[in-house]
Amino acid sequence: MNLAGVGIVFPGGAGVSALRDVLAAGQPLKGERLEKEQVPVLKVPAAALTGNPVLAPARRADRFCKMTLLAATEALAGCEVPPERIGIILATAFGPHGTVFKFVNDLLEFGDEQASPTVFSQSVHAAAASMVAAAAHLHGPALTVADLAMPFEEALVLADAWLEGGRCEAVLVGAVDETSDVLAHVVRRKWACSPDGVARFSSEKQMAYVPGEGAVFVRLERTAGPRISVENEPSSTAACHLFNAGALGSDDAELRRRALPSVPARTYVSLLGSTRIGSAFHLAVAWLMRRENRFFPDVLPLASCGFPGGEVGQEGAGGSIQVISACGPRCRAITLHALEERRPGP
Amino acid sequence: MNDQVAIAGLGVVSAAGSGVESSLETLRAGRRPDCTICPFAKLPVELPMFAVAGGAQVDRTFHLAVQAVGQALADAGLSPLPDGFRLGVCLGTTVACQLNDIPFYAEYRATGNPSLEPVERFAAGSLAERIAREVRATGPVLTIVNACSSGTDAMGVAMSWLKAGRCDAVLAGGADELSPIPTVGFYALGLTSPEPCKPFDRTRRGLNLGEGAGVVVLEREESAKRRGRTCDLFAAGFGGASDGYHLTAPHPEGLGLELAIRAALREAGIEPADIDFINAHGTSTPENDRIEGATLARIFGAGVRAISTKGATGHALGAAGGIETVFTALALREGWIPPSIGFEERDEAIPFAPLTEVTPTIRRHALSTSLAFGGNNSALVLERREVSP
Repeated sequence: MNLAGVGIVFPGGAGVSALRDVLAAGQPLKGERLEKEQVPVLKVPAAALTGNPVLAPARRADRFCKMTLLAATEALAGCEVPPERIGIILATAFGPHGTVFKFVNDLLEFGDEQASPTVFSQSVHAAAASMVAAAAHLHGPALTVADLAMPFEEALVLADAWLEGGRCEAVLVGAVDETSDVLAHVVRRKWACSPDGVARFSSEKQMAYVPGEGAVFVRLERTAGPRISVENEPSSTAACHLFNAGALGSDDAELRRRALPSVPARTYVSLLGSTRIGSAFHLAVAWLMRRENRFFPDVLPLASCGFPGGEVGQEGAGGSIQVISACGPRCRAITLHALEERRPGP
Repeated sequence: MNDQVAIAGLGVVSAAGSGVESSLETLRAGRRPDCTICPFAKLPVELPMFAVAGGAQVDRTFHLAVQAVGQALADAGLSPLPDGFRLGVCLGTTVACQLNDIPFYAEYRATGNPSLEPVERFAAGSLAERIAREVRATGPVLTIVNACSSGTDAMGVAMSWLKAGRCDAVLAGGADELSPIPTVGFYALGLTSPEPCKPFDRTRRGLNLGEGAGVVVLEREESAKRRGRTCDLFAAGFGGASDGYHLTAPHPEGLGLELAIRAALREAGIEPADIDFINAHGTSTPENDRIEGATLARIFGAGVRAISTKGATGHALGAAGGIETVFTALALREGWIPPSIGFEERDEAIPFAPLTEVTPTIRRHALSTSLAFGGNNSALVLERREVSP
């Protein structure tokens, strides 16, 4: 399968152009402390979720739906596949839990009889993907999956099967999660938060978490764009490894064990925050590096965390780039293949 | 490579019965199980619902799933799993994917310092992840949260995995428990009925919620043969499609449902005339039954043989597709179609009346459909093949 388009909303703003600007600046984003929980969080700026004409069908929608619609629409731009042949797979860990808690809050506040049908309908995990289908008039299969381990990687593999099996000619695969007061509360109680508001690779000495949020969509087709695949182990021939570090609730020690001394390694978790959608975010970063044929500045060098890998320069991101995630003992490596590498023959 | 997908094992628990035998008994008798009145929502009407008797109250969805999974694995001869056997897990749910514990949130609101026990339970993993750990599955794992079509969508994902050679077999289906959140939510949407549901009936007033789990073991035919198993049931085709229309209302012409059904028929390599009967989504809401009925009649003709089994189970949301797949497979195997419980009076807006008597099957294929909130539609074609002695 090939990566034909990308769309993104993240704490640095909406759109690939915002991602490029933040990457080029080379500075970590700093979470703002929630007044209630005194936990730093990296939220998508309100300005990114207002005023965009893409959001017209979602004017009454929640943040989760709006983030989804913005990112999916950007990834879909320029797609020439008929709408009945375009599928959607949305992967999430926690779903629109802010809306779920709003619904529960309203029940407690106003009683069961006053429950809002609008809030209920948006609290359903599948609502966001449905909104994308309705806004873009897509008629292919739409699927929402929710797991805590690596649902984005599983969604990519499933999309490959849909493309190879002829179920679709293009698949929008997305990863979406949001932060909330309740999530921040849980993070504060269960794990230690980063004291300076910067999400980072965690170690025994450094507290890493800053709850983050965003939506990342990739458009997969059979031929357009660079080839991608999902493997079980990092490759020693990759030009660069992007480590999906600081994922909410994960243990970065497993990632450290996967590091290969011969391959330069980076993480851009400080631009997203601690989420379960970091692999999708890092895939967007890899795609942008490839498109611009340059490695963006390292924001928080992993060498400071004892990583063995060497440095890459700023130029020549034409080799294969791998996004490495780990959950428990399981590892997945999403490979954005080298430019010269073509699809295997039939 | 032989990419035929066999149904190697069945497991089901619902208000209609726990296990295949008791479910068949209920379905054959056309007897509606006793409904209970919703105990956990303060609404101005009493809402009937279809509960599973007994069982764990905490973490109920997981325990319902464990029951159905255990039955399905035993039926498939996969308990315990053979060494090196690659088993995937793909299960649908709606309730178990949300951290919607009302006491937790109430305590958070009141004290700012709630017990994190519900969070710990949620963080232990999604439904499919926990079941995979429980049965020591080593294949791919996904939890499908596609609202009311989740269980049927899980079948489609499992078929994709098997055809791509990712594993030998998959536990596929869904599980859901009765919960205050969807009860109040569906009431707010005006979709619940104050009386027992009557799918496709002229006087239908809405749905009753139910709970349960329906799980099948889908297995590559060559894997089943290697284990010395002879399979008579197959998952022959799956189709999924979006209405691309509205968040809560189905497409008025049933566009997505028709696309899904035609895709499933195409994958199965059959024509509409090859379908013996349809286990329809048939929720008993005015809109669903009218649009689904018109769509089925358009594709299969006004003489279509269709039923809804929700009169025996209620609408079990993420479990519905799994439960109805099991019921459809059982009907093909047994050679009779169960009556559609609750139907009494023909609706002129629906071009057919569902079957109300136990009816012999006459063809090899059957279809199960699921329509979901947000306009997701899924269709699954099952096939029965003669087994040579």
